Amino acid sequence: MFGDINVVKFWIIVLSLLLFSAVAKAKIVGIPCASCHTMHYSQNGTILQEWGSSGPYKALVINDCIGCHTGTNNGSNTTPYIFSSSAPNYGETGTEAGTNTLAGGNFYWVVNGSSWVTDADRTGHNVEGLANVDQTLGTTPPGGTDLGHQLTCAGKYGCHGDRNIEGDFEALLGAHHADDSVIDGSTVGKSYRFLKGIVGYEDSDWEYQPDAFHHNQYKGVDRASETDINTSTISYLCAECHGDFHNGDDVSFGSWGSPWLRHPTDYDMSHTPSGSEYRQYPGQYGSTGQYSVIAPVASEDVSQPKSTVSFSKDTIVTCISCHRAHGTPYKYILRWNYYGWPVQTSVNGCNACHTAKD
Amino acid sequence: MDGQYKLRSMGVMPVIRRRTKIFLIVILIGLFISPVWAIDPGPYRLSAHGDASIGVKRTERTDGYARGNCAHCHEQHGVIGGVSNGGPYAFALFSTNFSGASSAPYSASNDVCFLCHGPSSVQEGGIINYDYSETYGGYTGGPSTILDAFNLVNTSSVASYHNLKDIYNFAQNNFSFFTASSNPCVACHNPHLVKRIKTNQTDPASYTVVSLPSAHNTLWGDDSGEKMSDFTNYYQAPYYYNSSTSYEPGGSSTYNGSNLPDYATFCTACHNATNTIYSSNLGRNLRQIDWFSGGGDSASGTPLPDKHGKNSATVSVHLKNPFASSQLGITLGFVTSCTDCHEPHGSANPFLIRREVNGTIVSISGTDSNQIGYLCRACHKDDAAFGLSGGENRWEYIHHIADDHPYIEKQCGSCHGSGGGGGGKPPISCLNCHKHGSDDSWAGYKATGRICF
Repeated sequence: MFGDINVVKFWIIVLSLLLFSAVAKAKIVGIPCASCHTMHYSQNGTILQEWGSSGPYKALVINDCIGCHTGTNNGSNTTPYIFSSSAPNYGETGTEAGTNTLAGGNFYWVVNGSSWVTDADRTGHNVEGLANVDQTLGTTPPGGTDLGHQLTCAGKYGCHGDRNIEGDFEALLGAHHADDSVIDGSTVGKSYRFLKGIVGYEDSDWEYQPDAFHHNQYKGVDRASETDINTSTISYLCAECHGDFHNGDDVSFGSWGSPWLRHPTDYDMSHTPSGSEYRQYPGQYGSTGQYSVIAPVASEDVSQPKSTVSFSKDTIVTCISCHRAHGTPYKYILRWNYYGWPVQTSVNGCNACHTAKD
Repeated sequence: MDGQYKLRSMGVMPVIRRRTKIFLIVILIGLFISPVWAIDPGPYRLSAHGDASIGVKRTERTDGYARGNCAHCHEQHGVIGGVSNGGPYAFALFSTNFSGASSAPYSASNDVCFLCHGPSSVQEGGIINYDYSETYGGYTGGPSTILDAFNLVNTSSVASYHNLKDIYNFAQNNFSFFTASSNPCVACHNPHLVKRIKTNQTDPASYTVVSLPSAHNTLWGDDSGEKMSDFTNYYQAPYYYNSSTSYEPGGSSTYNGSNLPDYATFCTACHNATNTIYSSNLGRNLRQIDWFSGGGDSASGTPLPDKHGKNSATVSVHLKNPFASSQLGITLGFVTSCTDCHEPHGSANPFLIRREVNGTIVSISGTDSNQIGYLCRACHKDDAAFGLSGGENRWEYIHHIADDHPYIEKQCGSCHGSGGGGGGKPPISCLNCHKHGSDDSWAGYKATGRICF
């Protein structure tokens, strides 16, 4: 009998570990300094295998951004891996069981190409150190003006850190050690994913195989006009380079609302008619009113992840409702194979909102 | 023997343990195996535009969008490869939705639909859309695109068309879904729902392309209660061209409208007894139409109920086949579909009158005299049909000789004017009396009060 009970207990424990395992926050704690730093970028006259080979690096770290964040996610890794040297498992949408990419996707495809896209440039942000300058766009982001420099991870030409400071390290200085118990956007460390000024709820495992209960909660605002800008939203971050797509004065025709000239962002679907297709979110990708990690919507309240939506400032369309910031196997870093739909796939996250257009 | 041992000896405990294991294993499998997304096609993918095999495929989009993809009509950011598409345009379309052009001939750029449904289509392989007379009536030789149908004014001085700006104005004032930026085509069609009706000529109901303005988000004609046979038990389909055994639509053996959308209800959503619709082409308000009321020849109302609708002649009517020998078992009281006589988009004839009706070629050179009679004689017996020599599109017999004739002869001048004496009376314009909602009050003191349409 005890043997039987032990078998049951064993399985329950295994399941519990799988279901409820906790992962570290962004602030680095509990590991030796040497895991990240080296005083002299030398050990016994050479460098260690786990260090980057192009050092020494600023801040006495053992590698650069990409070097430290290269790996394969397994759900228990304490460093989020945004670039993998072998093809990640993205599945259809990067959310299914078995996938091993995170919320931002993966830079693998912009470096190595994708079977879905002939032009690798279209599958990721062309970040310096990983990919070459975009052969079509150069250094001018669509909807924006020329950066005059290839995109970097952080700083003046990047997304993370302080965009008033040039340089990956300089822009992020100290952020990995900052107290991030409160994400209020006041500092790089206290900003959502070190995107200075942006707020949001950070999923503890960066959306490794997320579900409606375990996911980032993105900040959005229910705008009253195209020029009504809140600088803490995730869409605003994108708009810092791709401004025309967010607040370029030609997103909506006339007053803020349909007909749209460009797809809206920072727009709450509560403004759609109560009987409209949008009120069926997320369509076939969940039960009506359930939050969908396939096509996530943002909210003004980001104190915790929302498993359901109520069309009250919690169904806000964002850039990353459709795109992943780092890369996907699909064209224009879309979350799903939009280009291939409806021939190559029946999965189209657009239909999470445009539920009658499937 | 304790209970536990008893269970073991009975083989129950192993069963529980095995079931527990299976249950837990199933959960683990569920956790680790990717769900296979197989999303059932919704209305768009089932539509002509969204079909993965024959749907939209714009030649300008050389960047790999699959056929049927939204991007062939909508460009979400108004930018392609970092370059502006010239817009952005309302509804994130790839071109101007509707330019507001007030009259035909239209150019393709006047309406985004024409960019595909026109002779210079940007759809891969182009799109052929014959007119109703050809697609469902079997009479070839008409326009081959929607734009061409609207632009028959280029080839005929009496051509007519559904004026897009008039539709736009009416729809904006009357349809809740229709905005200032909407396209007049969507007053009748929902492009995300429309089916490939043109290749299903014998069953346009199942492949309908129209949506009632009061129910824009569903198709009209495909469901129970939405066929002509639902509108009435007295719908007799006209003959298919060059046939006396097959019927419209498409030349099938179906004759009761069970394969035809209830266009009577659809068209009267606008063209009814109450709406005031201004026609730029005619320079006046359209005649109102009561297609629903009965009451016979002497029915009253404003407008008078049409006998081509649910009203009926009281005594008799002299019709050609298939009406004269209808399998419906009636000789009176037929109800017609608007499409039995009218084209939806444009016609070389006036009043959107088809160029073939009930298997008969209809060519009308004007609205004066008895030219409209060339339409009437497609179904109604003219003198020739009654055996009078030289009587094509002459109507003496039905007006003066047949049983139930309304007017006695020998008083020609009353209607035919001076010179009416002797043989060969000058014809009277049919439209004096025979038009929607009209009686014969034009005849003055000779009027019978009969409803004449």
